[in-house]
Amino acid sequence: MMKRLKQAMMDSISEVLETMFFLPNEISDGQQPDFMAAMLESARICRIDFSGPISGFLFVCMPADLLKKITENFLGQAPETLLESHFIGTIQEIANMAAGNTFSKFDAQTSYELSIPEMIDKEQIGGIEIFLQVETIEGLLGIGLVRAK
Amino acid sequence: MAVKILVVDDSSPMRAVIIKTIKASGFSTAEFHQAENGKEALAMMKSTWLDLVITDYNMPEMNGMALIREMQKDEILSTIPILVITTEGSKEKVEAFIKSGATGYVKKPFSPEEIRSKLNNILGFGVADNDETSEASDDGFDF
Repeated sequence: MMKRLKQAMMDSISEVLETMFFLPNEISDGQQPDFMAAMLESARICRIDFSGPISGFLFVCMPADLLKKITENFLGQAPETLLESHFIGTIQEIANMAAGNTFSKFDAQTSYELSIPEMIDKEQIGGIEIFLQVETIEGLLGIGLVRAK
Repeated sequence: MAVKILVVDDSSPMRAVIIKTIKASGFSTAEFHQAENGKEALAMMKSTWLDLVITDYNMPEMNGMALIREMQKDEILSTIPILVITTEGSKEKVEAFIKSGATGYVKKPFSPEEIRSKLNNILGFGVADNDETSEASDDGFDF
């Protein structure tokens, strides 16, 4: 089951980045301690809770520089016009689309409820079961999943 | 006369992207209004006549499903077409949108072509307003 969920996450984030952000990407297993630590240390992190037959949360983390570039491209606005709310809104939307798309692909017959995405600190993440490394031409980001105990 | 479209989404970047996509899809002369949730959208509808409401599902205060249900209770608001644009893609949820009164459904992530096709169907335009090469999709309101 977790293997299928992981594949759904991979397909989902890839589709979101390509379709909405025009970002070709390559996705690999990111569960190497060094990558995870570096990513969580330097990144902005956004969490979205999901509940259904499986419950927990999915999170997206990316360095501030990458988030800035992605937001510029997403909104088509000059960098000097962007506000903190634009950056937060963009990473929240990535988390929202990645989660919704993941569960549609994982089980289209079942409805999973999603929370409103929220920004969190790395200390609020523990027990990661899936962590993917997403390589784009603009830089690396991570996407992970934690199941509720 | 410009088509009046209300975009309801709690994410301001997503509202901006939806509006940008609609404009690029041939509806450059449309007049856009924005609301952050269903409650704000309903308040706006009391003073502004709209040709189309585009709504997200997952929003604080009042979500998209509650907004659709409230609109259906009103004799006038129930005549306004509603396009749901959301990440919620389960069969169960899509059926619930239809039963509640949604006219069309687009799943995020979406392509400009999907938006164009749905808008052409819903607004009844064969060709979008500034694109002479586009043609209306004949697939109806396919959910």
